[in-house]
Amino acid sequence: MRKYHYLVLFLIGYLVLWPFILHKLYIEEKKNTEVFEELPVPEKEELPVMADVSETVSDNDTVSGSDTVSESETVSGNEAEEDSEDMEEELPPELFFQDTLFIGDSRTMGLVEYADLNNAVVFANTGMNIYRLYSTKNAVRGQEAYLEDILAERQYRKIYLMLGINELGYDEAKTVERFEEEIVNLRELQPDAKIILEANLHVTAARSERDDIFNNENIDRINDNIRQIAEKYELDYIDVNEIFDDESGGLNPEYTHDNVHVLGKYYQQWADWIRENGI
Amino acid sequence: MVFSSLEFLFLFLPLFLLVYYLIPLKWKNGLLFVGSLVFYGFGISWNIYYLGLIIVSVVLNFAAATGIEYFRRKSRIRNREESKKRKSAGEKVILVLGLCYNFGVLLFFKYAGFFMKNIVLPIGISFYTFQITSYLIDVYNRKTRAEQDVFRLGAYLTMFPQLIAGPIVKYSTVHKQLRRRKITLIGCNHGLQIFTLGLGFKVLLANQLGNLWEDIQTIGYESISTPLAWLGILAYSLQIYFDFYGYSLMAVGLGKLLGFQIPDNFRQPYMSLSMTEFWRRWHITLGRWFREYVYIPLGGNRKGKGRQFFNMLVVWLLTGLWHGANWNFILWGLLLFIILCVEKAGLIKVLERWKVLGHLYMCFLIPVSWTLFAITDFGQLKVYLLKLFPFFTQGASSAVIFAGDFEKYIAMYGIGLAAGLILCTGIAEKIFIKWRNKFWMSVLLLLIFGASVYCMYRGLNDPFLYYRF
Repeated sequence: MRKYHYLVLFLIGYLVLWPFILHKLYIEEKKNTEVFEELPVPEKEELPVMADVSETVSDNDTVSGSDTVSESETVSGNEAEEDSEDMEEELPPELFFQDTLFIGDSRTMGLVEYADLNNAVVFANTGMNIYRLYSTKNAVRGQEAYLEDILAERQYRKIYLMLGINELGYDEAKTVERFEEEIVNLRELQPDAKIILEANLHVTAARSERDDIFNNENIDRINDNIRQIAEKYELDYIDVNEIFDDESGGLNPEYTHDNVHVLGKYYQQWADWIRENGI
Repeated sequence: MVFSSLEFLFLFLPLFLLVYYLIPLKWKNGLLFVGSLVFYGFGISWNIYYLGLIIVSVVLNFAAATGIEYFRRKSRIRNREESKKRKSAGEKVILVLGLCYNFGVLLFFKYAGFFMKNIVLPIGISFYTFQITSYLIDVYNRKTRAEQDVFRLGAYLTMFPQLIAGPIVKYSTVHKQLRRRKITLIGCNHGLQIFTLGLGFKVLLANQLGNLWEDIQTIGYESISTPLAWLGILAYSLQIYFDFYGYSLMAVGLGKLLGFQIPDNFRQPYMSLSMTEFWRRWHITLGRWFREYVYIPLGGNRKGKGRQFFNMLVVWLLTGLWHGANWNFILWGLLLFIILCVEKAGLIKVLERWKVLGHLYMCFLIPVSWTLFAITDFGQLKVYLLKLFPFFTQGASSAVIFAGDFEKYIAMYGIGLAAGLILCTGIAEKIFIKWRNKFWMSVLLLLIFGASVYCMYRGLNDPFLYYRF
């Protein structure tokens, strides 16, 4: 017996595990879109503006219908022109990100690590999503804090937000609803800040083809939802895909190794593009 | 299908073993052959041509070996010694045709990539080609008899524990076990222990370290700091070792479960004092193959120093080519050839005398040689080497380097790296061998198994995690 108790222990453990694993392999695999339970969010009050805006915009919605990417680009283009009349344009480039907050996932992580954002504040974490906005700590080194504290610290002039890709496994309607709630909440917490919603960066066509969840069709859909939220609350919306897409409409494979993130050296281009856009 | 997948561990393996243990010995080889083909079929997503290729390989080589023996009998050279030297034309022709077919197929699939882009390599072809040619050459040299049973030869060649990543088992090593093998509870217990150890190395260590190397490629070599470049190649060195070593251990363990003694492939190579020693302890079965079927037939060291260096050059160029269809592997082979020549010329005596010096020398050479191995694109290789050795970076690229990158990745992977460094000394194996039969060892191994399964279950095994963006 002493000589083979591993065999015995192993068999017991194995037989216990076996049904769970088979269940995972052959039942759960089939339904991979899980709805995650909601996480606690800071309290928010109903904004009186909300109803009005949504009414006026809903007309707009029916006009524009389901927009393609090119249309959304023209939207951001127009707004860039409008903004050029603003005072902001006169800021020298090194002050462009003065009093600016970036909120995002690993792509924004890359931006803070590999691009020069001057003294912008960044709140980002790999795997960040709209549901975990207030329960995840900042991963930017030296600034490990919760978003609540970062927002309470001071009033920002501009807030850039790029989220949405990590939410693709969740129920879409829930995500959009939650997204909107968080934007409303953010506006309330930072009434003077100009909020800029960013479209999520595409993945490459190759990745898109073999992934049921993280593909460009889903990314375009969430981006479209984000753009509509931006319209509804009259926020700016920018789409960085215009500089990184190839002709297939996916992330250009030359810019990436993992098909999802741009290489370190391209983040500067991204930051410069934001500056040039003037938003 | 790889060993470190839930499908293999919880579906293929239990079903296969259940049937395997229940049927009588005379059917076991047939089942092993068929079962291994099923295993292989999963691995190549049921590409029928690739499955055909391996079956053709078995049948053709079976016929060729039988043919060689037929011509030998006909040539009426009864004396064994004499027949080792004098071969009839028929024997020669069959051997040459057989080798041409085996290597032709390998070369076609492997090196067509030099000219065409869209050829996918059938998994394991480098391994099974080397195995089957060793069989054919051994029959020709009368080191072994031709197999009489095609299923037995099929079981030998396709045996799933070693089919897709070695060790390269010679027919003569296992031909007795193919006929008669004992499956004992103690053997199974031991096999399971070794398998668990290998699984732990692969899933808990190699996969995690692999993520660091993957992260560095995601950042791009232009944008990493010099310390991170060294950290990255250290992670790669540890990953490639524990991945391959873990896989080889799993093969040995599975072999024991089936009643086979599969040879060891690694003997703590990172503790070597010289490259010469390293290559006697790393991928042992491959080194043995090249020694036996290339180096010695070319004359080895018996034809003078000049000829010996030439033979070494041939072996190392071929070793490089065997690893992949890219020029960097040739460069890597050349580098190893040069290092081995320098060692042979006298350096090795110094390294073996002052052991600390030998270890330091290897601490430097192991990661540097793996750099050449890991990066297939010459332009990128140059960028990486300039990151490792930033002495000539006058025209450095303007890419922003994230100043804290080294600390960030140390914080993320420090534990894995430290564990890797400690375990590559062989301490785990020493502890394992000493207390293998203790109850606490069984519990520890069970924990390792559980943790590995948990990682696979959570998809940690998958390089593309959810929530990684």
